Amino acid sequence: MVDAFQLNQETKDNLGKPDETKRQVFVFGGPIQEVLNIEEGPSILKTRNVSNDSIWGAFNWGESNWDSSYSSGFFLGNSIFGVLGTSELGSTPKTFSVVRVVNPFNRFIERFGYTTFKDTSGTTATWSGDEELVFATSTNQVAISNSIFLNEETIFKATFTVEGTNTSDGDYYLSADGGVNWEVVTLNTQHTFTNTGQDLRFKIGNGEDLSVASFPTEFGTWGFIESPKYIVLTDIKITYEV
Amino acid sequence: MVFLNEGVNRVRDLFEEDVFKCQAGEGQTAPSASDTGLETPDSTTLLTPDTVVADKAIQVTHTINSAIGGGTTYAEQETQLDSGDTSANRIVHTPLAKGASDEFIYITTFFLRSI
Repeated sequence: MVDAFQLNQETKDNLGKPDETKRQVFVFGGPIQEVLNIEEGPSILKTRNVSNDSIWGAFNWGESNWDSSYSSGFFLGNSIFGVLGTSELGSTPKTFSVVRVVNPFNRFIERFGYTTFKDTSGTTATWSGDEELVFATSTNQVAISNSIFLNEETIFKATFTVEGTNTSDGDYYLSADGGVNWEVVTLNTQHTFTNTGQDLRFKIGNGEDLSVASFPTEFGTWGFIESPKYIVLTDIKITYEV
Repeated sequence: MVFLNEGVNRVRDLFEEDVFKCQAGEGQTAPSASDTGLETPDSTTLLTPDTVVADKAIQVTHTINSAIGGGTTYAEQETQLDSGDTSANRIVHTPLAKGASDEFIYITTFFLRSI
């Protein structure tokens, strides 16, 4: 398959007419205008300890390691735990924790085809895995990521770039310490972190100054700095230095 | 001329069909495009992954259950193509020991893009 996309490949039969397959497929009416790339995106390593889990079908079924917690047990007849046909037989499995996130060439790519990196507890913009991140005009919204780089290495600098519609209307933030401290960044400009750390995340808003959730207005009320803007993002790249 | 989305996604599907196995290992040398596989592979982790496609993207999930690799410290992982003859990629992370009751899941995303 790789050979099919080597655009510089020069093949020619030893006998007969030259092989014109490449020209027919890739070059039509002029020089090559496009390249089709396969890019390696982020890789995540998640882990969990299943020593006390006892879900039917799990590896450790039958090893006498039922959970000791009644709150996650299986009770026939209980309306919450162990509903036949709905719940799995056994305890609630432990959740996975993200322990590593690495990116080729220290460059994170997000194209919103998945929600893998979406912080579901904090994101209010539409990030549903349909290849775009949408901020509505009617309300202040925010998109927050989970860890996009996490590898026991300290992050010192990062550059945030985006593609989409009305991108200049967005407010862009990065955190190198897992979201404890958010720092305002300027698109396409390398940012040096004041608060360094080992857990890189991004945050985007469509009008609200997210660094100061609200502020007192001249009318004595609390308000937002800007009215919300309609923004659609289709591509994010964050390049960082460790 | 322009690459059509459906054409790009056809290439994505060919890539997905070619995904064979994933494998983890203990090698810590930084990955290079000239690598031909893992530095120190653990063959017990050579497993068939799950794949999920999105528009011009594919996500490969490699699950290593608690029965495998207990006591091993993993630092690298690869996705293999072409019946295992070709490594599509190799990632390296800081080492992480896997206990006998630990499950590991690697998730890697590949993008296709016309420029």
